[in-house]
Amino acid sequence: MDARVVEELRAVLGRDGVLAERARRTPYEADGLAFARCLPELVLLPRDTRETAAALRVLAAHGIPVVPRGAGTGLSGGATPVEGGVVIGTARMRRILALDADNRLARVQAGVVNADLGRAAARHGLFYAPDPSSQKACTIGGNVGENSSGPHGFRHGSTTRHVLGLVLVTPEGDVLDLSRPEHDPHGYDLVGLFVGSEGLLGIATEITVALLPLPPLVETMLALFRDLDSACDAVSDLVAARLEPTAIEVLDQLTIEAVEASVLAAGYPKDAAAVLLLESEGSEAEVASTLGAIEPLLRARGAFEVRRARDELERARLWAGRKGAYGAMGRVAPDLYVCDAVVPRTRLAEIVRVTIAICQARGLRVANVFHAGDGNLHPNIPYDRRDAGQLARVLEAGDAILDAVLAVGGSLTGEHGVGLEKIGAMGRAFSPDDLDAQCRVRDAWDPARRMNPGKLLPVHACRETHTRDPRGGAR
Amino acid sequence: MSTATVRAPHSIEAAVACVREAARDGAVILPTGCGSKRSWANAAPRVDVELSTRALTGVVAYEPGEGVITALAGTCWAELQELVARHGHHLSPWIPDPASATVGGVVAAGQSGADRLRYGPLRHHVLGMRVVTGAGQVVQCGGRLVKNVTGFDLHRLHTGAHGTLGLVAEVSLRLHAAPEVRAAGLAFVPTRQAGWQLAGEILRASRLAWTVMVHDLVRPGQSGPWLVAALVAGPAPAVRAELAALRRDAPQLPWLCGAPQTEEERRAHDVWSGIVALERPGATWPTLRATTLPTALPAACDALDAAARAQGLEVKLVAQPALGVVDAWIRGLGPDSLASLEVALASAGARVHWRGLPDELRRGQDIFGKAEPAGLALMRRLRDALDPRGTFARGRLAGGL
Repeated sequence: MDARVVEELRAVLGRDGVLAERARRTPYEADGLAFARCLPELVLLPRDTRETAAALRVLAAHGIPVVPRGAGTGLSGGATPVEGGVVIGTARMRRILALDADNRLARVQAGVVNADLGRAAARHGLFYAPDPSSQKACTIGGNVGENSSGPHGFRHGSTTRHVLGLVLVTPEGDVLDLSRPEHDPHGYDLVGLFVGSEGLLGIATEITVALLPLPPLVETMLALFRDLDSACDAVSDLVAARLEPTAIEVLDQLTIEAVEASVLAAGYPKDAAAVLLLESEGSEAEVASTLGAIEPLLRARGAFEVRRARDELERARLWAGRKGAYGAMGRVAPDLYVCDAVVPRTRLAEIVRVTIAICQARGLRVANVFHAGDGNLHPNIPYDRRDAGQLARVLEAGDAILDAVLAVGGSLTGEHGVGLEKIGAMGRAFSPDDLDAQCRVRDAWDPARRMNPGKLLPVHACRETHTRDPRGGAR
Repeated sequence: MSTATVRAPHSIEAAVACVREAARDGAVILPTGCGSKRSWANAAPRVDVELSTRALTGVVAYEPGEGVITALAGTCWAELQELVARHGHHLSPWIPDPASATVGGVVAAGQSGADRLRYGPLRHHVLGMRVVTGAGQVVQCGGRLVKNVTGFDLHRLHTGAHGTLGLVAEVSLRLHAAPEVRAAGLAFVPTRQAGWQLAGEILRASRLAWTVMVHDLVRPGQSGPWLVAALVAGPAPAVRAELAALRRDAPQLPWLCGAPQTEEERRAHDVWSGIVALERPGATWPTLRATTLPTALPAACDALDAAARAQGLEVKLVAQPALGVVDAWIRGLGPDSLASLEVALASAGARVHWRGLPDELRRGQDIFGKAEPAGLALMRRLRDALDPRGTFARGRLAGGL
């Protein structure tokens, strides 16, 4: 990086806000998509909106590409640095600026950790609903970028439902204050468009979110099955019966083994081929009526045991095990490829079977732990990235799974984003006209295409869709 | 407007042909459904072709086990409601006059309903759509799945855009479980302040409320009753338990659950039905919707009252305290009184949106108020990117969009 640019950035961010030494940049060379790596030229850590804007103006003046980053827990390579570019991280923007319990909203800086907001809200009898498995580390800004969700998204929806306003900095360094919570947008819904835009439209620095009242009662239920198909069919039945628990999760045997062998051992039964983890919240009557209606449907699909968590401690352990499942898979292999796709909820069992067959045909193991109620599959493939042949088979399996998902009307991603990982599949999910409309929107925000280039949208020039796989090799 | 040609294509392909023809001829298109919400947007300065979706009807996909419905834009909202109700689903928004609303119209106008407190605004139910662009392309935005983050959420831009970015031709909506039981509570209170208090008690005690409203049934300056109306809905045991709690915490509120039995219950039921349908004497008057934070709503209502009184206007208010929304039906408006009400509300921190203004008042007005929306320059760039030739009528949204 040109020394003059570094000095200009230090002038606006201070010495602590500009990481130039190689050793300090190295931790930023990848996010949760571990096999994609690139050392950023610089890492910038602004403390607020003003500093972020000043930094972006300097970068715009020099035409330098920018990759926004929260905690780097994303799994699609959305925060993977780009050649010749800088990373702007939100690690020094961790203040909860306001918590307005009367109006049930909070205004936070982008780097506030999801779980920290949850704890702050709980002191007022409120909670923030989106709960990604990485919520102890991931940030609200990152959640906005990816439109993240989590197990309780079944009832409460993804991040977009909970964002009331934003302060964002445009690629040119202009501050756009969309923070006034709007009943309905006057004009176009810029906030709705920005959420889930994966860092291509600018950097959100402050976020106003809706908070919900903590429910008077929460109950967690476990249902054990002798095969994964039956568990999936049970989920399809629950959805068809229009039952509305807050979460419907599936864990398969490999996942359970990994969790139970880890420090997160939660008491999941190792003799079950699949476990359904369900939760219901509300008044005592509401919870009793929901879970009471669910149980016979589970048994009709062959659940050999259905039981409820005995107390809050067991409930917390079951969820810690579920949310720690990705980490626990570290016992199975050094790396984990976490697929993310959505299928119609009427076809869960069929597609889960297909994903298993795809992996088996390539000599790969697969662990399924997923948000079944939303049809959001996560076939997780353990691998060792030092084995190039194995990595190639993993990527091939991932592509084949996406093809199978698209063939039944599914989508490429339910919560992890397209990022770098799935950019090559966008042309299979959308027509050239569809992609053209998305490119037009991106170009209206970022004509120079400097924000997170090479992510989400295939390179489009004169409607020519780029065909090279960004992960390397031709498609 | 009266000289515009009306076209009503029977298929998306025919709609594409209409748009391409208009684009070729340099004509300006105004997309319409039933036309019931035309006055919710500004009058377009120029319209050559009214592209009606009234013949673009039909359900494209509805698999009850999936909980999603996809329909062509001209499909009647009431028909969809009835269809999904037969399979135990509820279609949100629950709007006042579904028989004269189309799917495309509801979505293009960004119309939410009386069930918003429970299910959220319309934009949370729109999963995706197909849109005909000004260049005559058919663009898929979003999808038909309950969870999906693939690509930009372009459907969020089109929802509430009043067709200024393209013709919404097909929409996919998320469905909800139809409640087993609905229970309505109605109580008259002596002051609006008492209305806020009672509404607050209901909101604190209820998890199943679809709506809680405070109605002003009297003319300004007169003392008289205010009505607090609430509806809770859900699984029968949960509703019964909640009613027990509400009867304890807000004992002055009588609740109806199921079919009305007594004469008093029938009368109350009629009042409730009227509230939902907004079939009240003032329903044909122009409406001013003011929105603010819930805690600021009482002050906004007071400011609105005071300004209306100063202008000698007749006004009826329907407030939704949990949402920070008040709808004011107003009689006797002139251009000056429009401006003074807007000023009064702006000083109380509220946003305004006029609906149902007569054409002579709507012309030359920005019915979204004088304050420009934040990000207007960017919104213009987005509009120009998606419809560079201005094939779809402009000037209908805030700030001349």
